[in-house]
Amino acid sequence: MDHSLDNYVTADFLLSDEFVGHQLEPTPETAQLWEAWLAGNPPNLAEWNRAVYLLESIRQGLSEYAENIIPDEAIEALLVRIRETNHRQHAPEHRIGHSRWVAAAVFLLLSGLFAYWWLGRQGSQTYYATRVGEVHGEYTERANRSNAVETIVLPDSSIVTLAPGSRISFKPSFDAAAREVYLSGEADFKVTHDVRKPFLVYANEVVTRVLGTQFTVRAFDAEAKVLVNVSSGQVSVSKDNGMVEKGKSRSTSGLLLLPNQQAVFSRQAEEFSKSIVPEPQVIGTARQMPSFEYDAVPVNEVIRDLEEAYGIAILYNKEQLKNCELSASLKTETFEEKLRVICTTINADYQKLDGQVVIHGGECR
Amino acid sequence: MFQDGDEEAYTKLYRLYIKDMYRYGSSLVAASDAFVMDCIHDVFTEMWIKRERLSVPVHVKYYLLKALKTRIIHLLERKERPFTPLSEIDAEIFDPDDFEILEELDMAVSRQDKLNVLIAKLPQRQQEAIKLRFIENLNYSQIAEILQMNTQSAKNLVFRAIEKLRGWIILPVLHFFNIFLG
Repeated sequence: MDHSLDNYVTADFLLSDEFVGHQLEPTPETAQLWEAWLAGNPPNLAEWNRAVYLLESIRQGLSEYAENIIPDEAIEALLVRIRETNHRQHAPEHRIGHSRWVAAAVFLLLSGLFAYWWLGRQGSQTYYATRVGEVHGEYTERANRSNAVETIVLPDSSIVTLAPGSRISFKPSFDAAAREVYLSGEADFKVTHDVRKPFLVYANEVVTRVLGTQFTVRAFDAEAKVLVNVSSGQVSVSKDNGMVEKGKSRSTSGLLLLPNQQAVFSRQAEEFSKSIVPEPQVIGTARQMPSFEYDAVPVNEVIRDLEEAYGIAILYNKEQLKNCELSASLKTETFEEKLRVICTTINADYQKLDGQVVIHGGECR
Repeated sequence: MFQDGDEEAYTKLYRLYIKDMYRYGSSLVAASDAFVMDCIHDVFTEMWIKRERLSVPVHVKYYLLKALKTRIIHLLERKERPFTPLSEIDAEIFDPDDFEILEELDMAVSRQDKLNVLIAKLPQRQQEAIKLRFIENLNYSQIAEILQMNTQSAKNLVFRAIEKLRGWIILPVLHFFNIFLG
């Protein structure tokens, strides 16, 4: 990818159609380009993170606009009106009353069919059973009925660790277009890299799409939430709109996840929310693992170490903390404990917000 | 292809884009839902009449939003402006100063409310541009076409909005907590 990206600051990313397009509607092609760039350890990763954060905030601020949704009845009524106008064009000899009756009849019939289909769908059939039932041809199913996790190697040599009480289905040899897997329950995926064939996991109305990375999906039939949690690489999740066209499941409002971030999908509200995983791990791509041993080191540098090692953006007031120093050994502490030590030292608080950390307050003389 | 008279394809287009068109159309004129619905009706029926002559637009959503805006403006002009397009009110509003924003932010309780306040304070044209870029996902050259300016000006417009928001969102939230939490 274009190396001038390395000089981008926050605003430049937001002025790039490629960046914004990818954040709003990621496709396998854009995911490939950005994943490659991110994997190359760009010097301005923090700026990229900030741009992601700023974009999300702007979208949040535009929610009043975005959520101004036309009522369903109005959609149908307007469609009937439009058709009437069109039919008058078509066949001027028709009486208007006639086409209105036809439209009403067709509408009634369609709503009846829709209600029938919807009620049928809501019945005993689980998402998993429905999806697997739609698979054409032969497929392999593996169920873990033991009390321990089970390791399964997929046809592309990706590795799945299946939790007890979970099952997974896939074609013995994946399709040409995509590697598709259906999951009920919980599994950890270590996906082999193949940019030509995206890897898709379908689990309780959520589609998780990756090119090669490590992540966990938890989607038990009886649970109201679906959880996707990323250990490395970049993953996009979206709601399954029920399109069966292979490898082309339409991602309407996708969410992009970076390492140590997770998405929770509420099946009832049909909404995603993004947060930091409960126990962030150091990510493999960090350029050079910091020692986490500090002797009178400026806090700004300590925070930068944390950002790079865990790939989590930390927002704070640089100016205000410029005189703060830290002397501590944080080698064995978890991410959360490290943050706590820093904040206690500088007398600040922190808060986790939308998959990022915000440090408030703090002062040093 | 609805160009061949396929009603099903035509209806599919309608269902696919009606929500975006309604949302965008409503943001262009103050008041009157019925007026926006009339305009959407006109865009679709005109498309049906012209279907045989229509080439397939590369980006359908852009085509529809642009057609809708053109229709709205056309009707507003003909009706001798019973409603003022919001973009024209714009010029009269000066940049609100930071103090004014601070006061309103103070009243907003949630982060969501704060963000809404910040965006509502931007000039209308900037708001229209960021809606088209960050919600409708149109690219900068399409936004430029809709706003009748060149691509660089469209980017400048969004840049000014970003700069304003960035000051308040990134340093921002901190700033406030510091005031309250000490």
